[in-house]
Amino acid sequence: MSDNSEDFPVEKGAGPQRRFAMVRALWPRLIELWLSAVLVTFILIRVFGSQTARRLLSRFTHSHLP
Amino acid sequence: MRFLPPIFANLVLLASGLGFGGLLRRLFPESFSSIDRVALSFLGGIGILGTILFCVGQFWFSRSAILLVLVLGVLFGFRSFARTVRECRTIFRTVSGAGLPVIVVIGVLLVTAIGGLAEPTGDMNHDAIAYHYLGPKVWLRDALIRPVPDEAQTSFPAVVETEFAALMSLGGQRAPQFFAVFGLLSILLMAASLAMRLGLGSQGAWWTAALIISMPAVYRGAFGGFIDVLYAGFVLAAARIAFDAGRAGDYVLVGLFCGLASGTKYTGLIAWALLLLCSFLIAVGVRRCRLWAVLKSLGIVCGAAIAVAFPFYARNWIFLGTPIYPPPPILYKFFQVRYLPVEAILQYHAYILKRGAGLGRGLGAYFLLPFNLTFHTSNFHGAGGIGLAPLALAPIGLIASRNEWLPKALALLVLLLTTAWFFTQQESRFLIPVYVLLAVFAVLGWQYVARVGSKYARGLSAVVVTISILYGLYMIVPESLVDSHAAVSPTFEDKRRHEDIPYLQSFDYINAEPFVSKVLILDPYVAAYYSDKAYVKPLGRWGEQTLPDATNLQAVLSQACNLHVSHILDVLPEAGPLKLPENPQGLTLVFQGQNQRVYRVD
Repeated sequence: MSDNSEDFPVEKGAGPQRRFAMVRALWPRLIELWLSAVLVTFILIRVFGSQTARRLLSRFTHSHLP
Repeated sequence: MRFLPPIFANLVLLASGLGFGGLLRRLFPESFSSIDRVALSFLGGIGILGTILFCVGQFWFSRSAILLVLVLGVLFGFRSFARTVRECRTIFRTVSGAGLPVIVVIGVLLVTAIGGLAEPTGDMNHDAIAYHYLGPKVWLRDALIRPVPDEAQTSFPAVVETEFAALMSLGGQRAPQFFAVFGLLSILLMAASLAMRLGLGSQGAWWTAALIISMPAVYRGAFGGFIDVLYAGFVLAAARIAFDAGRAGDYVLVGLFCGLASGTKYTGLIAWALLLLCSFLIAVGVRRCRLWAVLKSLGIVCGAAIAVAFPFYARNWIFLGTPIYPPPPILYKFFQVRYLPVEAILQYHAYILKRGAGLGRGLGAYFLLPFNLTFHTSNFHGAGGIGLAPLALAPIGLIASRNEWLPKALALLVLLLTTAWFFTQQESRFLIPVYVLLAVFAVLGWQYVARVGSKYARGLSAVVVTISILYGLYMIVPESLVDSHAAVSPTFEDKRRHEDIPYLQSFDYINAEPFVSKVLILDPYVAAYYSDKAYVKPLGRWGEQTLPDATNLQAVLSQACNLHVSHILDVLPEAGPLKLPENPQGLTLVFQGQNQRVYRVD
């Protein structure tokens, strides 16, 4: 396991300095994006896709009808 | 008072298991920590106890025989008891600093313990009723461990089922349900051992345990007679030792746990082969060990594993004509299989393939597995899935530990086990070893995000873990509360018995009536587990034929006298091949309930 807090998944010295800096800047954003994507998918599939949610939504959308 | 026998039986079994496990301590490497030692001696002890009971039970399986084996284990335990208590104290010291995950783990264990005291109920769709508990009940009645011919699945490897039998013998029908607590404990200890070996620390180990115990798919594999959690424990124990092994004793231990896994489930044979492959690749490719030394050590593993698993497969070969029963399609042509006609074998495999089809076996389905296992759990009979953490955080954990060889080895094992599972039977609980490893990687990933991630990423990862645990608990707890309710309320338990047990009135009559000595059960789908009296079932639900040339009612009835059957249980709605006519000759109706009749053989 990596102990270095500055340790990003790039081979140091493997590429030009600029590329390393770019990946270093992008990596935290990638983590955020990945985690957000998983959470959004969970909400869409497991929460809104569930029978209970569908029942509630359908009740809500039909509540204004006479 | 009705709770005391099952709890007492489980405590005796635990003490005996720890006693046998203590015998392994000499083989543990010096480098192993307290948690490693406790986890391995606990799991190893349970496995050895089950294997000894199985071997003794081939000749003698009365209560005295069971007690003798258990007392032997307890006597062995006296030598290592003080050391085990010391090591457990070391583990308990970590509780105070861990906080939330401890509450989750203890809460679920508590609910399991209370729910585990309820009487088992259900129909033939419950594996526990159909075979996990049926086998032990029949073995105890016959005082001998033999496959029950009308239920092919009682011939499965039986390390854990023999312990169910010991528990039933000492603590009654409720005792095996309570055993789920020890199953869960064993997998949590093993997970903590792996987590700490990967550098997570006690806090990380507790979070790993909380993630695992709140995975509904894992929980399902432990509760209600399921043995998958203990199987996973054996596989992970073998992996834990294999990748750090250096001495001959270490390889003997690896072999022992591979043998125990194969003695628990047939899939253990696949896990054993894959672990060998993985160990070979890592030893030669990463650790640069000499080829000859690696082959020699893997030979020791195989020798020990064969020695442990041999009794289970030899028993089947002797009594059923084939070591793996029902035999897989490659095997059945080479063996004279008893009780199962070829059509039944083929139908059984067709069923297995259909049930384990998941979302397909194509390349697309393979690469979408992480997503599907997380979000479409019902396609894998996943009981609510594994939570979000493995998908969200495990890949990050893998990336974070990319420079270490052990995570790579474990990741390779995950890949191999998942691939084998994908092409065989995609049943979620069969993948528990992988789920446990993914939970460890998920916590590694969480720690990595906490170290290098932004404030936003840290918040998101905390939300992922929270949702994982809460959603898992939401799936687990309500069902467990029903069991707990049944355990504490006799009125509710009785109501549940009447709702969940088909043909209960007939079984109550058969069990209470002293003149009933042996029952002929005509319908293959009637749960014979509920009969306290000896029984004969001519046809099993997988097409088993237990009486020679008796596939129609006339042939069966003509053999009834030779079988010393005193009564016949006939149920009405199912129109099977063995259906009694109205007012059958030579039989007297002695009990009639809704859709059920019991006849006395005149």
